[in-house]
Amino acid sequence: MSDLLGNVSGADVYLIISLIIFIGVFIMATIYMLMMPKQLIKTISELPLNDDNNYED
Amino acid sequence: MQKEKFSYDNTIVRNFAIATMVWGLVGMLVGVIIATQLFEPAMNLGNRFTTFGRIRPLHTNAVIFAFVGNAIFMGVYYSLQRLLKTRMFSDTLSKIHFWGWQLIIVAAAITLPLGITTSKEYAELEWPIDIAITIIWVVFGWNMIGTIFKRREKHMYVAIWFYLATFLTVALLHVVNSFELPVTFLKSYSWYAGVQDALVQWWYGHNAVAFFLTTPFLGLMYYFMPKMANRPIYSYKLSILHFWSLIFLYIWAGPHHLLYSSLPDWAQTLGVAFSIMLIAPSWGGMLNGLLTLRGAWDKVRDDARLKFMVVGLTAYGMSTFEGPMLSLKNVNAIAHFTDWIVAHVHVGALGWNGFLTFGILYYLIPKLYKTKLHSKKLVSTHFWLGTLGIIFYAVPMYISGATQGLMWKQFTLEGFLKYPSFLSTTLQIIPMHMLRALGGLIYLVGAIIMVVNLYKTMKAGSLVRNEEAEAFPMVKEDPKMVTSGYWHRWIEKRPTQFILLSFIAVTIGGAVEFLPTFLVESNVKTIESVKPYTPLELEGRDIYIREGCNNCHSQLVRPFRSETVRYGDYTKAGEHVYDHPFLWGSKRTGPDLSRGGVKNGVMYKSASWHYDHMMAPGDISTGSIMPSYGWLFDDDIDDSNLEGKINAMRTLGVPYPKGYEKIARQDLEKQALKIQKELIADGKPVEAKKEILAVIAYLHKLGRDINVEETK
Ligand code: HEC
Repeated sequence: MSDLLGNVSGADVYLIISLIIFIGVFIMATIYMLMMPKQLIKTISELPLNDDNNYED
Repeated sequence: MQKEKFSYDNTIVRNFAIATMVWGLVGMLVGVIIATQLFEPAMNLGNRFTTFGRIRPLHTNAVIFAFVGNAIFMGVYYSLQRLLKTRMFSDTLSKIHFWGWQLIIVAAAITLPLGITTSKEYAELEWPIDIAITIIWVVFGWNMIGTIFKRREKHMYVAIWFYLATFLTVALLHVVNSFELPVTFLKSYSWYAGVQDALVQWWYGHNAVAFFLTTPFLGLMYYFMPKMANRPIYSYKLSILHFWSLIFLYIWAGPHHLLYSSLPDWAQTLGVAFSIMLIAPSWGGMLNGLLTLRGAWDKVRDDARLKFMVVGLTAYGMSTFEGPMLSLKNVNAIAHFTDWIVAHVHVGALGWNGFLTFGILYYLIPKLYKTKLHSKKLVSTHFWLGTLGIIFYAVPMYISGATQGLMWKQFTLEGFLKYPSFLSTTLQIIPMHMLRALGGLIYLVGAIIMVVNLYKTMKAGSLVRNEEAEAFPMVKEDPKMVTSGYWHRWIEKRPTQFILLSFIAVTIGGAVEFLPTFLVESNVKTIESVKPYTPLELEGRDIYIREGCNNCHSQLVRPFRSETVRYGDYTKAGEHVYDHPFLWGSKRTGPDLSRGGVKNGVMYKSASWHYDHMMAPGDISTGSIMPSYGWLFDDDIDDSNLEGKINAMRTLGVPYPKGYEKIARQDLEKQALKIQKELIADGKPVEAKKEILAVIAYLHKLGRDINVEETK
């Protein structure tokens, strides 16, 4: 396929850069997630439930 | 501290709900009509406005931007106010948003059948409408972010993150993909050409699926699923991971739409790798939603609304598993250009977007009208009809896609194509197309039942326009939280920073994808023998775009023996350097046309063949499902903007000589005359300057230049 034209030489660099960025973000998100206090998570996850008016279901 | 009194704006939610229902029915109805056109060409109704090529975009735009779009706004306006304990930032902005969006939809419904289109999939609307979309979208974002700033709830629930990412990314996608040079008020040329245009288009197309059909609906799911089940989401932590990995991965996966095309290898590989990785967050999200119901499955049994949610989430899981599979090169080799892809998107559209929207509508309307659902039984009927509709839609289309994909590729022992006639593969799948239309019809009937049911519900209650509520004003600091969770507080106290961060995330994704192709000029090798379109060919190409031929015909031969034998030499990027916009297409309902101008090639047809075929395809190719294009023989080529078109093309880098626009019309007439003479000599009467001449000129241009020795 590579004779299909237009392969930028050294383009794999882009692939690697984007992978690194992704993994970086992923790790940060994981740390962030792990560092959230339990009580806070509970509070936030209950936000949708506490906004109701009281008629019908 | 005292609680503050305020009210939620329900009118805006109700308005979007009605728009969702109305446009949903319209979009689905058009879908059923075009589905029947694919086995019964008479359903093109014999006039230009309702041919497949023109109203297929009407269907896609209607369901995506009108049905799903309004559903998103409905859900966002409802949940955002409640999650943030405040009314929307500005009622006026809400109204402008609502009416602006509906006007845009009406403009689309008028222009698309008129053939006013850019031809770029899911971005067909012409530039003035593009600008209107941008403005209205900004109004939406402004209203949303304004609401976030005046909130009474300090913590931003994960649904809101999804809404914000949606707003930002769609804005970016729309603006970048809509770069076009206006020629007249209703005609423009894409700023990009050929490979670059394709790259931008599918970066857009793919991410439109991600950020218009997926992220906002995930936000809605994270809000409405807990509400309906009356319990918090299974794992809030998982939702955070879900969010960040999803937005990051999606943005890179776009090039998987262009496998085996003349797109550089590295970009294709990148697209595949990220597509596979996408399974993880997608399934994480699905499981998070489904597990919310753990221990409450008895509720699902009794509540058809939850059934909609569950099947919707399952459909999401199915299509997000299938998507990455389709991006594998060997699967893609068979599935691409076939009905398989159509099946894939409809599992997502009918199952995920449709069912979630139905579930939410059934939940919201009684709440807004302070009453009970008119009939729970009808909800259940709707659910079963909808499910049946999806099955009748998807199963035949999978069979059809696999059948045709394999037929295209089969060789006899002697090394000839087993099915050299494209038409024979079309005829093979006609029964499947009939079943698919039936599936669509069943689904539509279900939706009609819903609308009736909800209409009666509305009649029985009365709209609570302003719903009273009260909440404490936002506290400056919550002492409980001070010692830990530093990051979290950092982010959630700074919505602007958060917005900036996600914006950077998506821009990096886009930049990594395009920059190389845009910066490295040698990326697209110029093929010197490729000449710009003559004025007549250019007009022919514009007619091709107007009629939406690209909705049925590809112009991209992939480097497989089965394709090069069937169509001719495979496609090189350098062929398309003057193609503003590119016209590779994404679906082969008819054969590839990109080698139609190669004189000694398999695809070449004489001018008089085209004459007969365009007049009545079914007479020349018995059983053809291509519509007849009789008006091309009656209407004169509209070359009134020829100068403008030549000038615009020159601005875009097409090397027409200086002053050529002045003599272009002469050239056009000369070339038209030549084709006219040829036709008359073959006994095909045609008047001078009829559109058919331009179309033939264009079809004969396709691939012609590449046939000459190619320079590397
Ligand atoms: C509904 C889908 C559809 C649309 C829209 C459509 N076509 Fe076709 N076309 C087909 C099918 C199917 C065939 C194969 C059967 C046949 O020859 O008619 C075909 C065949 C052709 C062929 C013959 C190819 C060959 O060499 O066998 C040409 C040329 C062609 N179409 C041009 C056009 C042009 C130009 C337009 C737009 C004005 C157009 N088509 C619109 C479906 C479509």
